[in-house]
Amino acid sequence: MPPSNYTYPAKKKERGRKDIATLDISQSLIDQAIQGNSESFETIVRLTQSGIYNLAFRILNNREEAQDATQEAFVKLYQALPSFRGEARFTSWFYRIATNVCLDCYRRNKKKRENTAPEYMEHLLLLLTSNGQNSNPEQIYQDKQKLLRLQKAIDELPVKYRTVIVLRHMEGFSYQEIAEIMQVPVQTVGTFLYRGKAVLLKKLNSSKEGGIRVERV
Amino acid sequence: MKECKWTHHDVTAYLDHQLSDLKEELLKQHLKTCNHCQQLREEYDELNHLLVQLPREPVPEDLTKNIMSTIQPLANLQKASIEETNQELSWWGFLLRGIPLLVSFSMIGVITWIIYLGQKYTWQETPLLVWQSITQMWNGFWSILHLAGNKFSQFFYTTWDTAFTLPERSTGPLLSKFNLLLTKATAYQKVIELTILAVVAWIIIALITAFISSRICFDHGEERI
Ligand SMILES: [Zn+2]
Repeated sequence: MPPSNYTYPAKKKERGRKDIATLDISQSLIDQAIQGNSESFETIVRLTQSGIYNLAFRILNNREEAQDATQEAFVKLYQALPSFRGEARFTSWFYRIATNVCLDCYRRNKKKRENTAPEYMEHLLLLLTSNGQNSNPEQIYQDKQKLLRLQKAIDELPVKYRTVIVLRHMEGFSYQEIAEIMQVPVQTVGTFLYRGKAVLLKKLNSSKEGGIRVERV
Repeated sequence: MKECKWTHHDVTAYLDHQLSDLKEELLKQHLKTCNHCQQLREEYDELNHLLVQLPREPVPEDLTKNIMSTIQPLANLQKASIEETNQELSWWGFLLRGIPLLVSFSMIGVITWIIYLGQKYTWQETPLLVWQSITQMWNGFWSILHLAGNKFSQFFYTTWDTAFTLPERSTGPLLSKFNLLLTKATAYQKVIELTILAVVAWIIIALITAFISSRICFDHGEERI
């Protein structure tokens, strides 16, 4: 068990991944969208849809459902937009809406839910074979296996751990922002992340010789 | 490598720079000597790298289009409600809505009054009685105004009074005609004054009624956007 006296000071250097989380939508664009300017809203859609769709896809593991959830999230956004007062960053505010939509959708269809997303696996395989021509075949094979195992392990994670990991490592949000998005204390974010990653690590290590300890390219 | 006090939680938090400065420094020092924690750190670091490497799912081609078409009906609704709000707030809008109400209310009042008088006296006498009451009320109104002795209204009254009885010394074809008109008007001064004041009073009442009625009857109770 982690010690309970954890402190999570706000740090500057903790961005995980580039784009989505660091991207911010200007207030003037938001204002225009509130005024009913559909072009401005479309701009917001174009800027944020990839992140939201990927979040939905990661939570739901299904393309169609992810697309539906993304649309629903944007409808919710459209309705909630006039109430956006800029007290939080727009992206984290919107991600909170979207995460709620996705989790609701997940719970609604929980019974008939499959664990893996076969299409994504195919897509992943395709991507991996087209990549990395300069490494040796052995390395390529190992990388591929690692990522496939990781993907499988992620699919099997409990949804709350998966969501936190996606927000942190794929969308690049800070602990503080994830806490706002998921409406849990910052400590809980830390706990979810560590537990989720511990499970991933365990699965990666147990499923193949030598675990994931392969020298980096 | 016995159980040391640092946990998986510490190591992941360390890699995400979520430890306090003191703890971060302590763990950094510890990592130099503890193989177990070093290995953990490497494994979690590797995992973080792998997670970032996972390809993003490409957005379906028609996603934007689909989203926008889902939004469209909502946008139309919103536009309509904005227009409605504007209409509700427009001065003319509520005047036009208020006047019919006022007219019908005054008609009902007048008719009731006439019927009342017709029943009390005779139908032949009624028009005269109505006229008498109007003049009575009118005089009463003026006497109250005079009684109030408002200097402001006095000022207005005298100014307009002198305006109607302009100096006769001015001559010239146009001016004389104008003067003639004024003299004629002076003859009907009481009537004109009465009419003007009645119209003004009516407009004021119309405005008040229109305002109140538009609040009561036409307020949709919707928040302005
Ligand atoms: Zn140690």
